[in-house]
Amino acid sequence: MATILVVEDNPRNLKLAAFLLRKEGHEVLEAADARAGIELARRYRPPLVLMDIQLAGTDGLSAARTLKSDPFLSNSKVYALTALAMKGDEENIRAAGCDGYIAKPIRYREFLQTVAAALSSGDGAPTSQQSE
Amino acid sequence: MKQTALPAEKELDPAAASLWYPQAMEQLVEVVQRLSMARDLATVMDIVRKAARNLTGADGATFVLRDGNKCFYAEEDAISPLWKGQRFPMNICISGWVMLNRAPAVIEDIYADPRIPADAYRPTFVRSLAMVPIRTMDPIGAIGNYWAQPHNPTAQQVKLLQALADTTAVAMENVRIYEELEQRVRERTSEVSAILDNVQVGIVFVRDGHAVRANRKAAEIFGLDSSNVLLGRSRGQLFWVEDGSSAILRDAQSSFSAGKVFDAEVRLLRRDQSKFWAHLVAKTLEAEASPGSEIWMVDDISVAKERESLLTEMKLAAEESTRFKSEFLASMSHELRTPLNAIIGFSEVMRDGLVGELDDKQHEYICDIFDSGQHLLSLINDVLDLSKIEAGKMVLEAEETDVGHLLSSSLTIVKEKSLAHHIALHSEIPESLGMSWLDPRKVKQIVYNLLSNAVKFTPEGGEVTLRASVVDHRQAMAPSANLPEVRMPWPGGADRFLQISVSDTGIGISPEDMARLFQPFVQIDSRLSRQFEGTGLGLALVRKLAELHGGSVAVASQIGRGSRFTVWLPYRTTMGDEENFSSIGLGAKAPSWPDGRSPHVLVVEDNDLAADLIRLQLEADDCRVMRAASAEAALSMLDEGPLPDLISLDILLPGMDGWELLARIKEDRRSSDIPVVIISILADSGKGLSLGAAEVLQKPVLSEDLNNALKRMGVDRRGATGQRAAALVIDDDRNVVEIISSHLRKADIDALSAYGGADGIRLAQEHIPDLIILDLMMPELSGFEVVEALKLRPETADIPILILTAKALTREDRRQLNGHVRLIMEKSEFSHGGFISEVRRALGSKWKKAPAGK
Repeated sequence: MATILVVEDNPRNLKLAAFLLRKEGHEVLEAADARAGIELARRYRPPLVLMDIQLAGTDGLSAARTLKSDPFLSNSKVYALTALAMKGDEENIRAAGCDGYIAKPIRYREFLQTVAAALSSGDGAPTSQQSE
Repeated sequence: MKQTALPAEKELDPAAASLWYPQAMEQLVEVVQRLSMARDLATVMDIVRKAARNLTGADGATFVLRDGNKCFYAEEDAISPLWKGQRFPMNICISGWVMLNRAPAVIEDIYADPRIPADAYRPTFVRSLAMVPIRTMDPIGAIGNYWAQPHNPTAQQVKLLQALADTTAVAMENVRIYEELEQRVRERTSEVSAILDNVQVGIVFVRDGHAVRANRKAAEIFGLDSSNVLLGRSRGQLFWVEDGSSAILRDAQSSFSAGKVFDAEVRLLRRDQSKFWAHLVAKTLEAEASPGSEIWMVDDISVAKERESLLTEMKLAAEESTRFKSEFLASMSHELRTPLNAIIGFSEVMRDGLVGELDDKQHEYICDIFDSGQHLLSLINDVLDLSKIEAGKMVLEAEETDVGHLLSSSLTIVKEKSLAHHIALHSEIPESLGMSWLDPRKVKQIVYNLLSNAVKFTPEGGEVTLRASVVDHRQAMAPSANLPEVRMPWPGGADRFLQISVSDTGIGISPEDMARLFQPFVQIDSRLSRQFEGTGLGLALVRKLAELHGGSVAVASQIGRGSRFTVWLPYRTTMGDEENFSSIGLGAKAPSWPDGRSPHVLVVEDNDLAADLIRLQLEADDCRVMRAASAEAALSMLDEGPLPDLISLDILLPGMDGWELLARIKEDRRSSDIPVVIISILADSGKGLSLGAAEVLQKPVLSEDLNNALKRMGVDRRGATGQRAAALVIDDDRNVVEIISSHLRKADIDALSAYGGADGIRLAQEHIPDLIILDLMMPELSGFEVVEALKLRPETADIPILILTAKALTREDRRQLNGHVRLIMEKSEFSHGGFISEVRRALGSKWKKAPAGK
């Protein structure tokens, strides 16, 4: 079981993600905006951050970039959890530095599978991202 | 020029006479010179009549012109009037004689000459005359000399007079030619003027930089009343641009220097400051013919320019609105998905019991919320798909596709719904369709849209038929034989087409609606959309997807007679023989089994307790478990997610049952190789009458089939009490109930009829029949629910039940399916060890023991 940070400005969607993750036995850190999210990430260094992209204030993409360029967070994966689900969105989001992509609306089984997969391959994060 | 009359020769003394001739010659030369410059007959005659009188010293001279067969006395110069302006017949006057005889005449006494009608001369002074023809060969006139006193001119004088006449002939010929030329020039000039003045382009001739001629249109374009106003203006004044620059003239000059035609569209200014767009074309004329000359053509293209700029504006506006629309859709997509995430997410976890068990009503409502959320999501996806196609952003991802397989798997998606609505689903898909180059996802979308529309708009008991064939261009273009048809534009291009049609016996479509049916963003009919749930975008999407393939669509329909939708997609076979295809297919479809990865097991089980039990067992053995609570959910998980390595299957499921699911799993190439373990509830197994052991009959039921089934079930004609056996038939389809009842009566079995689950349960409790024949698919209470209810009551729990189903499962199908099934386990006998060992056996050599202790 792992610590997972969810950065999500929609309280209901935050509640859903947190519920599902806790149901799986994970410890969940909740942040309603990018700034709070970055702060929590730096303090707790969670192996996985689920990041909403369209956030008020600092958007999720630049927050993801900030986290990915932080040398103390090299073991944290950042997955986009976003309603930007049109063709090309995933490519753009991955190109911006996110390690994974989950489209809303989520189906909880897939969501949990993706989370599990992200955590299980967590020790050996791709070298390309570490050598940045 | 002054002419002095010469004295008559014979009146002269010899010395004077010798002087006369050179003087006369000098006069003649002068006359010749003057005649050479004469441009008209009057001048010629004037010169000649005076010269004639002077040369001979006559008292009068006449100039006579031949006018048909008359002699016209055109001019005269005499001491008193002669016959000027009069005409005489040629045969009665001396000028006529001269012309007719082509010889001069000299008459000393006119009253003594028979050629002269004496009376003609009585009123005149004439006593003697000399007359010479003009042009001796073919006389055109004559010159006469007259004397008041008897006079006999010398031969020299007559000769001189004849010389004058000959010169006159030449002069007259010159005049004639000159007049003819002038006439021709006038004609040509008026032709050119007519052309210039009527041509619809302004033309300006420029010489040495100034307009020397311009046509009416040029004046009109420059806003002037007459083209004359243009004349004399310089090019700079004519082609006047707002900023006063001389760029036009510079450019024109450089074109001319390069020997090219100057051609430009410029905005010019008129004298009244109004502006217009001009198309200017200018070139220099040939230097030899007209040095320093240019011809400028001007056309007012303001209207065309305005239209052009309007078009550009409209195009920009359209692009702007497309961009706006696409931005709007993108943000709409995001804004709608965000709340849908909570709606679908929470309802799904509640539905699946993650937050505790729900009662039936709660479960039903949560399912409603979940389904509505899913519907909304598909609506968003449809809208986005359409807009993507419209924006040209959707790409065809074509690959070699097994057409027959694709079509039959599309068919399975609507099977459930058509079953529920008692709609017979037929397909005519020949084996020979083979492989074609298609985008399978999009074609599936096309076929699914058409099929689900057909099912939606077909009333209960109707039929829906999916047909496919490969046709050539001519066959594709053949019009519909039996229904009015509306076709979308034909793209052409391909020689052969895959023709897919979906026919229904539904409500049909009016001609007006047919024409609008494939329009994007047009809801066909608000009445229909209220009555039938749907996005209203399906057919527009079908059309766009077909067009994306380079195909087309058509609808043939009539109110009350059903509809037929046809799609043509270019049929492109690819290289390679069948063996290649199948080996590629197998290679791609074989499940992979990476080392060290935990096997995925899909557990299809509607009962949560049972599911948990299975999950526990599997997870303890390091399997990763996904659970599907229904066959439908299992199918969509198989469709969307990664394929599992093993499927455990319950037979009694709500909605689609396990047999059907098994059939579909085995039908789909992607999943056909996945081992399946069947776990079935065999409650009351001692009786052997539970559903698992029940016979399955297919509609329409033949009496022979029914009898055989009854025998196999041990139900004889005699009931347990020795009385006539009674059977209860429960089916919402009255026809089916009628038919089965009649079969039963023929077999000496009493038949009770119930047309719904609730009725059936009530009748079963009242009559306790020896056998219940039950339909699974009924509105309100399903057959499964009836079974559950019957088993709860001790008095009905033991009644054998024969399940009747319209599912397309033949006995042969069942036999084949059983071949795929590894094990049918009873849940009462469920044990950890036994189950897992079966799973291991099923997985066979692919099984890799997960690393101990994770």
